[in-house]
Amino acid sequence: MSGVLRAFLGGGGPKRGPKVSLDGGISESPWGQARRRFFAGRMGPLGLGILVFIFFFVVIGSALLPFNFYHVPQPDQITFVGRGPAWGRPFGETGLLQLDVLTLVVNGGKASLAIGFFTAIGSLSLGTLVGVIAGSFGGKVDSLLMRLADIFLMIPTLFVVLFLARILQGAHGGGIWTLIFVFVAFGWMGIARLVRGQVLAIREMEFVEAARALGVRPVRIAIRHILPNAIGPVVVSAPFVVGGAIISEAFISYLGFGVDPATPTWGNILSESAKFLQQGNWWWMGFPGLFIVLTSLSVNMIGDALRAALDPRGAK
Amino acid sequence: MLKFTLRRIGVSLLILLGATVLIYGLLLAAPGGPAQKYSGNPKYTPQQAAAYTKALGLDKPVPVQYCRWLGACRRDRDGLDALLGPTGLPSILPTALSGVDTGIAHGDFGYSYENGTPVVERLGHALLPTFILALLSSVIWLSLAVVLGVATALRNGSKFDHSVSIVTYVMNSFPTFILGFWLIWIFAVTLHLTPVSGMTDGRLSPAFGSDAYWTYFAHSPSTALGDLARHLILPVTTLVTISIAGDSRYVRQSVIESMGMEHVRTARSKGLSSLRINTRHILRTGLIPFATNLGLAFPFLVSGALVTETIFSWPGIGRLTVTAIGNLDYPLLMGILTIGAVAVSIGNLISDLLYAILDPRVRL
Repeated sequence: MSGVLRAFLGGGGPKRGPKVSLDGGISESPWGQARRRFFAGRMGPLGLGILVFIFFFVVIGSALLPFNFYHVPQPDQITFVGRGPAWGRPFGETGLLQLDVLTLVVNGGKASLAIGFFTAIGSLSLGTLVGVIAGSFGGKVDSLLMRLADIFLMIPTLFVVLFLARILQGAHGGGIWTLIFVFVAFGWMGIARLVRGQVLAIREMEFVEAARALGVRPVRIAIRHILPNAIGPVVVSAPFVVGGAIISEAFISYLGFGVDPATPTWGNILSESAKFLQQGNWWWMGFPGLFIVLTSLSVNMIGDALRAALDPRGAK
Repeated sequence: MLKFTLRRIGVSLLILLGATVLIYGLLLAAPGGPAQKYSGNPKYTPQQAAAYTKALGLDKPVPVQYCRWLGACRRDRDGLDALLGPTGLPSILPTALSGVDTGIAHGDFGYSYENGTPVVERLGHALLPTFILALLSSVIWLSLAVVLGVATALRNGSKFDHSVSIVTYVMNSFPTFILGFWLIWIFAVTLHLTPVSGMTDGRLSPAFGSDAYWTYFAHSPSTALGDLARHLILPVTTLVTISIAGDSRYVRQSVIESMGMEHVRTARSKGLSSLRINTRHILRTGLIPFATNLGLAFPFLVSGALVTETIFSWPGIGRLTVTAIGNLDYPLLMGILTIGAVAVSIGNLISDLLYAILDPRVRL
């Protein structure tokens, strides 16, 4: 049991030392060190393993079992609540239209994962941009951008995201890109604050001063000297943004304000399932839910392992 | 301290003002506003349209409309005169001082599109259920988080610590609505231990909050409370399970940090009993960050748990929000967003002030 515990919590594992060059000096870049520490723990690889498994399950599955919104299977018996898992339909059938839950899960996964990853790319880029601008320009630009972030943080995000999704897409939902846009528009503030703090600290460091003394232009200092050193916390928060976006999408689409049913996602395939849960159809809610939970768990594990790998001081 | 408090309140008010601009802007940009209400009606003459627009004040420039909505301008005056109320004091001040009673600053949020009732009334009805649910869950989860966090920190590295870490870690990864549904499936549908959703049993009692309900409540309080308690079990469990993980890890971390501090080593070398060290030296410093976090739980008491309330059909602010969004009920939404923003800023204020009071290193 304690082996399992340790495997889950990370640590342990084969301790490989850093590469030592011929003259005895350590020749490993900071990112190389971080990568080694990430794979030396157990939590990171395990989380990554689960995520890669889900990814291939979804990609291969959706290629084998394509989803056609306009094709409704003819029920071969009157089972309004859907039939449970069996050979040929391992995840069972939904109630109402009697769609195959496995088909829905693999096709929904494609949209859900895309929403997670593109939201992360978008909000991390926007947040980093705002943070770097605020931190390196300072003064009025800085206080303007940070007050803007304060104001955006003032309103509960889920309220606004739900509302924007509703007005941008009408009563029956829309495509995934509108939703990604809304998530990015209300997801940059935390990252921007984080990056700004980093930039403010790094700006005063000696190597930046040296670059300034050598006459390097401010834009080049920001991009080549400050940004690479400020990016660590952004990398750490990336997996959490992916997980958060997938969960938010699922809830918004479950309510029917998110992605329309022609494009299945892990959220909208659940939208009628609560009614059937009370009639004993647990598989409709259960299997898509399991995939959402597994994805969320795996990205959290990756995020925590990344944090430990990039900031060894906080790991103990 | 007083200067700090006043300055902090000033900053909060400014940010709040910014938030009202954002809220107003969002809803201004949204489709389906009051001007479109009758636009599809063929009998609607241009004269009627003009009269309607004028009656609602929509013929005025947007900044004036915003100013009136906010309550900083009187509705019966134009230009700079509007900024001063009948008593000659600025209109934004409370009704007793300025004599102005329109605009959100004076509690006038307008009327819900859905059924024409005042927004304040609908918010008032939803506030009590939210408060009951949020207060009960936050008391349970905060005390459990302190107990678990301290216990795991004091036994840092033990099997107990590891098992609690794993369980809370997995719980932390559960999306609220999935957990809620799985709890309904297990405890309500399969085991029949609890009701599926709602706040009261419709077969036994009138809807919560209605006059009939209070009559029923006064008549048989024990039945009513028992019914309420049974309906509270699942939503409270959901909220506690979801929220406890983050907080207990946070408590554990800060208690572990304070265990390594110099004054704890001094206390140990003086030969104090470990019980005394734990309670007087470790916990007092270790729980400061957590206490300051309590202020952040405040918005939750007012704005409610949107997801949990929706899943369990709990008639609070969270579910009201989803209903209002579904119906595009703008006055109601603006009211909800405004009290949400007010709650967030009060929470931040409490948290900052608590920090300043509890941590003597913070010199103001």
